[in-house]
Amino acid sequence: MTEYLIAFNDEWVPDLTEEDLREASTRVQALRAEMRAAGVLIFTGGLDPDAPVFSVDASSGTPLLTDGPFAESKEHLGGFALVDVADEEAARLWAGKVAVACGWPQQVHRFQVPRQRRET
Amino acid sequence: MPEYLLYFNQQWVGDHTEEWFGSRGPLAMAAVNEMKAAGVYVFAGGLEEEDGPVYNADPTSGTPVISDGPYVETKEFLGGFAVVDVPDDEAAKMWAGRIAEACGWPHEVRRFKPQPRTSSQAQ
Repeated sequence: MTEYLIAFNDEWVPDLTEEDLREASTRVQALRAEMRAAGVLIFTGGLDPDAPVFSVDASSGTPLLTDGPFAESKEHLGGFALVDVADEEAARLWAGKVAVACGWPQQVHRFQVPRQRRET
Repeated sequence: MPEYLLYFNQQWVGDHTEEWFGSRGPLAMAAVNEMKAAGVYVFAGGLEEEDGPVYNADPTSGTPVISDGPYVETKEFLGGFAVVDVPDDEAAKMWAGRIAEACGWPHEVRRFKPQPRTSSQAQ
């Protein structure tokens, strides 16, 4: 099995009404149940745009924590799903489902192997 | 408990020798093992770089269109991250410091929105 990241940036989310967002949330919850039933779900989550952001730079040898982002950027990670699937075909299939459930585009990346397997 | 993302962009890693990168692997692994022992670990992983497949799924036409390549080209892109489940910001910062020290490059900390959890996924 291979792990994939299915992610979107905040900037790709269209302007939505409260109603639209509630409907998307209902679809995403149903999809999460479907992913769990299929045994591919590791994690899903949406980042809170209003939560404080911190950064930590350890290049001096000891970690130096500061408030705010490490680098200002035009695009910001909005949220993602992590899946553990058999192959790229499966990753594409689930990416399509996530995109439809959310209603906005998603980007797919593969995780490096070997890496320490998560404990389940 | 709130979940936090401790992540880095590939552009923050810096130029290092192969030997240096080799020396960081066991340190990062040790930090991940500490997260597991403390019961805060949800996931940790590094994304494949330029040689890995990247595609995007666009549903805005009504049916999902899957195409190769990123949805948008950006100057910075995600390199890897850990997701932890901890009581508060302070604990998240502590683990971010731990993982940044182990990796040897900067990390950023962001909090996830609370959401209805319906599974054992964060255990």
